[in-house]
Amino acid sequence: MNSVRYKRLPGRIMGFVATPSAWLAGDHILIIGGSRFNETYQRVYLKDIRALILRKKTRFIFQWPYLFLIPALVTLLSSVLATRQSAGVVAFGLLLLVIGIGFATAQFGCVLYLNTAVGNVMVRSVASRITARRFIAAVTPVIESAQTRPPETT
Amino acid sequence: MAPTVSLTCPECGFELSHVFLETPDFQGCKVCGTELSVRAFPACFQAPETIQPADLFRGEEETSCFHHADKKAVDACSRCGKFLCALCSVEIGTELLCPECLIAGETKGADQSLERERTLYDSIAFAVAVITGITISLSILGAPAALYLVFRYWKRPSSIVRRWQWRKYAALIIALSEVGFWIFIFLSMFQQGRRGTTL
Ligand SMILES: [Zn+2]
Ligand SMILES: [Zn+2]
Ligand SMILES: [Zn+2]
Repeated sequence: MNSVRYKRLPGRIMGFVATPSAWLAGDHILIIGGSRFNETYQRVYLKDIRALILRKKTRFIFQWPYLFLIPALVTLLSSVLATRQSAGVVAFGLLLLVIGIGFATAQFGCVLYLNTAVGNVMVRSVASRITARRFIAAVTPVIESAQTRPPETT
Repeated sequence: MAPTVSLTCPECGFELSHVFLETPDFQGCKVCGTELSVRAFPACFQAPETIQPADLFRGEEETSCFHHADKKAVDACSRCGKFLCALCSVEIGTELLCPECLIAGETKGADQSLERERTLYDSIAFAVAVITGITISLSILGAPAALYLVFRYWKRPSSIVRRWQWRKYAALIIALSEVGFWIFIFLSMFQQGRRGTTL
């Protein structure tokens, strides 16, 4: 049914409604936006990409796995009220861990753009510089080979 | 090799200095100070294609554009073969299309490389079956709705990138078991009612 085979590119955002992603095909990068129930497609052809622009930006994206914070909070609160220390310490540690991860992603936050003659296309699935480095490493060789290969004559 | 095109800062829109093209390290934009890292590709160093006055149609021997009689044809549509000027041809991947074939491809949805969006009916059916199933009581409405969506859009392609269409089958199984659950409830209520009247 789907004639083009796509390979998932690094970067995943698990939003409640929006789950942006980026995919690599033979001659283009597919940027999927929209929502869980309605996908929108943006294609950026490899030969048109002039540059990858990475911008430092502090950002925090709320994702559904953060909901696991709620049981930790409830345990902490109930153990404080019941003065049960061991459960409280565990819950507090969990809370610190999640806040730490959130802080780190905000600190290493970035925005990645694919620059073409038409303008900058934002890659929404890439939110941290660590992911951006993996994304860039994955696409750089394919973009370079697409642009150095002599154009096919038909 | 000096860049022939200029890159602009995504924050302030001002032109970035050529220093950015020399290294992928983070540097501040001269205007707004936003820290940027730029990785330039060969396309950045190629002159952009512009429409030259020479493209205007003059000679009798030259072919003119199908839409513009005064412009010289530079290419032909890959689908219908119409002669087109630089303005009228749209490049889609390896193909060159005329505006008519582009619109035809988009509306028919036959050409995957032209599709702009897809509604994922299998995901909607799955969500309807699961969410109403959690509430139990609402599944009396949710299960038929999910079944309707599954059968109405059975042949409709789902996501362009997903390889497995498990959501459609999962929605079908969940909705059918919900229907079974309600039939069981009604039957046992009916039987209890009958036992109640005979006693
Ligand atoms: Zn700037
Ligand atoms: Zn055509
Ligand atoms: Zn024309």
